Amino acid sequence: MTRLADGDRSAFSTVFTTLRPLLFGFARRLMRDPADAEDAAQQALLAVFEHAHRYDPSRDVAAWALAITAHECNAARRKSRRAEALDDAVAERPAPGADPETVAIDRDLTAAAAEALGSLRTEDAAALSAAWRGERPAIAPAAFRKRVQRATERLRAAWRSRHGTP
Amino acid sequence: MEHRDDLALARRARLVYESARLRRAIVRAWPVPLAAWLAVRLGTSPSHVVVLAIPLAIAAIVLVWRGGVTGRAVAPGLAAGAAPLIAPGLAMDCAVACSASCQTWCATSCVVGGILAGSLIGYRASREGHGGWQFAATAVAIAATTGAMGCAMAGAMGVTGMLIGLAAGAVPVFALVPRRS
Repeated sequence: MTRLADGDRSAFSTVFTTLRPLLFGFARRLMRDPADAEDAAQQALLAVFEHAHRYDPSRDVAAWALAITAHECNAARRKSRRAEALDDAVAERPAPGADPETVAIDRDLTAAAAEALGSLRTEDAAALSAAWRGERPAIAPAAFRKRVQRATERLRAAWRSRHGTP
Repeated sequence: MEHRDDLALARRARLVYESARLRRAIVRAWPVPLAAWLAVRLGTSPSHVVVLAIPLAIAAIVLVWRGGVTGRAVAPGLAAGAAPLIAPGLAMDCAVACSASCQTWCATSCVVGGILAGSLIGYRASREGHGGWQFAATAVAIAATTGAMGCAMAGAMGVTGMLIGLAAGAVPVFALVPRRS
């Protein structure tokens, strides 16, 4: 890794073949879903190579790479939790005892909203979900408000492109 | 199938690695436009500065992107080149104050700036261990181009004086300072 950090391309394949099984194995142990683990490990491997030039030779390579993998796994888990929360919100049913017409309208609106939401990026959908649920954001409130505002604009645009007026 | 996926992932990783290095190299070349601006402000003709700054920026980016000993030599070369870059501009002010000839003051300041830059490079190259000569040669070339942007105002005599000064500063210091193994 020290050689790769210094620009020695001949070290690339050695680093790749050494780190790949290590990171994939570690991600599989951290995450329940093997597919999610594979995605997170891939992201981690790419992040390792992206930051290779910043590698500090005084640090242990495996510890450094595994820390990046753990971070990617945490990010993937957060994303997955947000997506699940969004699915739950979309799947909410109208109150029992509502008349059939209201139920039908609610169902159609829910399906249309889910379709528009599904066309958004994951970050936008997660921001809207967090805002609707009144969750406390992990980022600065001003940045979160801006993100929600942008996500709302995109949702409006997605709705307009499907159903005309918002 | 897995082998093919591995190859695709390796290709992506390589692309990410190279593009990150290139971005870093572009960022690391920031002193070049600053040096060019300074040279123009100090009185060198903009056309001379452009002719020197563009190849210097390209060389700095390519060398840092490639990495290794020559990549490490870019930043010290640019830093050392600051001495002959600003020395003639300062000497020019002095020449006006002393009513002496600009050519004499500028050319002398280029030689002195070159010696200072050469000494710094020689000392830094001696710390490099293996590949010290390669480091010194690259850093001297970078410093010479940077310094030439300032010394160009003294004409060919100034640039030649700076080159002589660089060699006179770098070679003895590099030869005499004990190497780091």
